[in-house]
Amino acid sequence: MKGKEELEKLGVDVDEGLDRVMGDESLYEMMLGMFLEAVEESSIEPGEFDGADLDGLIRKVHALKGTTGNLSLTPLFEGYVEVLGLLRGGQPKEAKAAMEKLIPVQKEIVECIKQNQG
Amino acid sequence: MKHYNINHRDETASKTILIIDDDQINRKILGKIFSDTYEIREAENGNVGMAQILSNRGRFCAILLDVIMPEMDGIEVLRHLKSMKMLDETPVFLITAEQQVDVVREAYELGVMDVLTKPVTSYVVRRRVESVIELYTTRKYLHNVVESQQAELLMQAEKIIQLNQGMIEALATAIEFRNEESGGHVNRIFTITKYMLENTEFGDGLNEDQIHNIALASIMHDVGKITIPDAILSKPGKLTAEEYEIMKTHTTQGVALLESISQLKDSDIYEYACDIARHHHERWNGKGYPDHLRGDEITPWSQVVSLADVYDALSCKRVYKAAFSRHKVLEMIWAGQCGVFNPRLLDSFFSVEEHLNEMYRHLAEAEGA
Repeated sequence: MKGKEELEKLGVDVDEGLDRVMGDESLYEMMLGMFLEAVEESSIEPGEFDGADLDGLIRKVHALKGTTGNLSLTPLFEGYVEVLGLLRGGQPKEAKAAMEKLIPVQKEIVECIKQNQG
Repeated sequence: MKHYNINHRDETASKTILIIDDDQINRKILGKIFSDTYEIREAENGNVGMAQILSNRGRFCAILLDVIMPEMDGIEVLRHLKSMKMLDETPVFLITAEQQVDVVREAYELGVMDVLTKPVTSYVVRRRVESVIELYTTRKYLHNVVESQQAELLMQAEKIIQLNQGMIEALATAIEFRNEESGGHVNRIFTITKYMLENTEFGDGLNEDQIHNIALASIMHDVGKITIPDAILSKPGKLTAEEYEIMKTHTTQGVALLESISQLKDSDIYEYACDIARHHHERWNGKGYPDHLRGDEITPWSQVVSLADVYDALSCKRVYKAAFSRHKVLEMIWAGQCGVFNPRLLDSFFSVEEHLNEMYRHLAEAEGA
């Protein structure tokens, strides 16, 4: 699979992700594309953690947690698990800090996927 | 009896899995896991999922259900399925990202088959879901087999009952043919007895089955005539005293014959048949035979059959006599010319005689046709 090694260097467990779709590389690549769309559509800005719509924010984080988990984008999945836990635990400030740490990691993985897409 | 193979795979069993999840990636992953063997249907929320389930009832072999969804969540879907008793038909698997204890407990209480966690592990999900699908398919197949066997047994029991009834009728009719009658007599006795028990006080306390059994037993009232020599049974004129004594033995001989049929002893009609065969010539004043019973010593059904026998004998042509007119028949019965009957029995009889006469007309027409 194109870009497999680069993704693995960033902590993505490509083999696990492929195993989840019964080894279907084209389906996995297509789903990576769907992840890019999801990140664009549901991009999370640090400012949202100070706003009033925390329920809406929780829904977006929950969705991205699910997608990154399914694709085994492990650093992102673990990051979103932490952010979601903090939000649900009533700690938006701590959640914001965790999100700020996650954003550059996500950017790197997104760029890597984009570079390897036909 | 058919032989059934419990290892048999039901080729007509459903092979469609419904995935209800608002996340397209989740639907793609779950679909991919099963797409080589199953047809996959998708729904993006609980509302759409319920609509698919209701319009395709019985079609899905499994439902994979997300918990958190817009419009209608997974727990709400489970509640609907439970209220419609559909969780026994189709196994539902809850696919959840978080192991929230309350949600999982409620799901199990509602009847979910299993709870699988996201991100899913393909071979685990496949194995767990397929095992349950196989279990449900086998259970459904065995259920169908049991139903089919029950239907078969009921059909056989019904055939045996019909065969028994047919043999009883054949035996009674054969005796009538010896008596140079057509077989219509036993049919008429059956019909009169049943009608009087159903429509007069003489059937009080008897249920539908008992009345049917008594009516069936009534057709064997003259079974003992098989032992009476032709010269007496078919004698056109009046019998001598000695011949009459022999003729009277058909009551006791009838019981002896019935007692000799061991299979009949297990039948619900046996006691009625013996009683009627022995006592259908007893009379209210004790001047009947063979036991000279009087009054209520004679069972109500034997009283009914004895009157039915007289009514039919007078109304129809016999080897020893012509048929009497309806008016004459009623006059003779009322006057006790064929023996004295219970006054209450006569009242009951005259209250339904109009109908019985009508019935005779129809039976005569049918026999004539």
